[in-house]
Amino acid sequence: MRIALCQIDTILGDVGKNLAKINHYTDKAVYENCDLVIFPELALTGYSLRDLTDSVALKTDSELFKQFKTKSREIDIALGYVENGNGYFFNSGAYFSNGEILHNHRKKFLPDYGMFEEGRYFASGRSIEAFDTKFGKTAMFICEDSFHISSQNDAFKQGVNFLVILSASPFWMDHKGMKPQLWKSLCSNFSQFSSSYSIFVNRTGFEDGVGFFGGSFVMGPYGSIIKEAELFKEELLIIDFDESLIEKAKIMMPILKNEDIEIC
Amino acid sequence: MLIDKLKIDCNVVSKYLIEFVKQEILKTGLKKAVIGLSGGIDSSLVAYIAKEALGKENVYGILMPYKTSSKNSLEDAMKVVEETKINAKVFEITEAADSYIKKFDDISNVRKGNVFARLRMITLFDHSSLYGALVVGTSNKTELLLGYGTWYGDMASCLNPIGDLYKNQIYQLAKYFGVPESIISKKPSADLWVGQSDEEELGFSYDDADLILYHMYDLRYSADEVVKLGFEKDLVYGIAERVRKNQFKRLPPIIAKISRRTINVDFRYLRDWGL
Repeated sequence: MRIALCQIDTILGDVGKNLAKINHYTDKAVYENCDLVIFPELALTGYSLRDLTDSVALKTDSELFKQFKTKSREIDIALGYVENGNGYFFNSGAYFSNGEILHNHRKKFLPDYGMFEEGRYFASGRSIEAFDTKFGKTAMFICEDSFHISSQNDAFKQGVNFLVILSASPFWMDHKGMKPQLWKSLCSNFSQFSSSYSIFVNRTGFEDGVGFFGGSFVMGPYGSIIKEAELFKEELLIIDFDESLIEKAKIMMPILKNEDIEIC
Repeated sequence: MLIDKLKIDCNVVSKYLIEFVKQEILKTGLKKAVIGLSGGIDSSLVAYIAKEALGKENVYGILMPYKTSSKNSLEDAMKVVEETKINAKVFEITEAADSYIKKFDDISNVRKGNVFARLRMITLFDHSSLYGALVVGTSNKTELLLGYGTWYGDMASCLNPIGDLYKNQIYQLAKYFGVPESIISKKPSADLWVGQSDEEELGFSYDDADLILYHMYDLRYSADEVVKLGFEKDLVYGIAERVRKNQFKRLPPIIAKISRRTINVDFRYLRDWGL
């Protein structure tokens, strides 16, 4: 199993140009024989949309998605976009596979503190739902979803083997550390406790001086980094997975086994 | 040591700032930068960053002395030019400044200083038009918070890579980039009149200001909590008051709201709209 993590920069509010870039990288991933290609949060639109939000929103049955559906017969595609849900807008992630949208996740936790204004423009998703992909049980988070223990708990209890995180995480640092470390420790914990792969795909580029740091990575089921991309630069990171590690990790640390849930 | 809290990872921050200058300029369709080089540490550092971001041939350092400007300032600025090999131009503002100033019988140092800063702004923006470049700003976080700069003068720019770095952090990065020692070791001065010293004029040291500002605004300490760290009460409250009084300098002019969509109030778009 081979996955392509596309940490790309986007053009704010220009769906056409972003689409061209996404198609370009998708074709590269197909050429490299990847099974899945993942793009960041709001990859089709850019992040700090403010009053552009409504003008870049797409319905799930949009014409524009047809090309991804077609392409998904060759390769699974996960990407972030603005969803128009009956006139309200969601920060969503679509997972295309086998000619259809296999799963659509609406970001559940919208940050509205510090520099963030998502709560002002978007409506919240209601749930974290695991779904079956050709690789196994998968859940998709969008950025801030990851910081909520409840999302991690939802994914954990549904027994996910793959956690895909679409992100537009801005860089900051202070005397205690910097943002990229925070993501690594968060994903390391989740991967260890759930014996799963965590795949963090973060965008790059600047929007009015706010820099998205990239640094995408795959965290293995033992909680250590398998491979990571550079900071601040656009990159296509290709990773070959050893799926057998998931079962081995579960034998070594069978945490879910002792939860009071039906294991399927 | 308290000052260690201002320590930054120069390796990561330098990469970040180089990408910032490169990407924020290239996305506009331009590829060149104009920087006012004073010979001070802030503009010197910006020249080093811009050179890495855009290549020496795409960076223009403009030296804009007035007749009373210190010779050392000009020499230090020239050292930066020699080291970085960026393009340089000396453009004296004496004639323009004097023809304005002489219209007044009596003009204070502060007013004169503002006139110099604004003439330099005109010079930089005009050269940005001449070269097809953007003006890269050189105001640091300490002076932006204190309001220690001229509104629409030295505070004016198209983009600013160092506006979120305190003076102490500017020194760390300057050393990392290899800015000439004479620039790092001299006393900071706006050089707006003979013998001017920033720290004497402000009445406190940059390290103290940095630490007070960092605790109050980055770490959200109250003024009284900052005093407990060992700073004079008057100093802490004085700095907090300076920050409040100078908020206007950090924002565009206010607009009287009439319509349902007023610019920057509820007409909300980033500058990088479509970029």
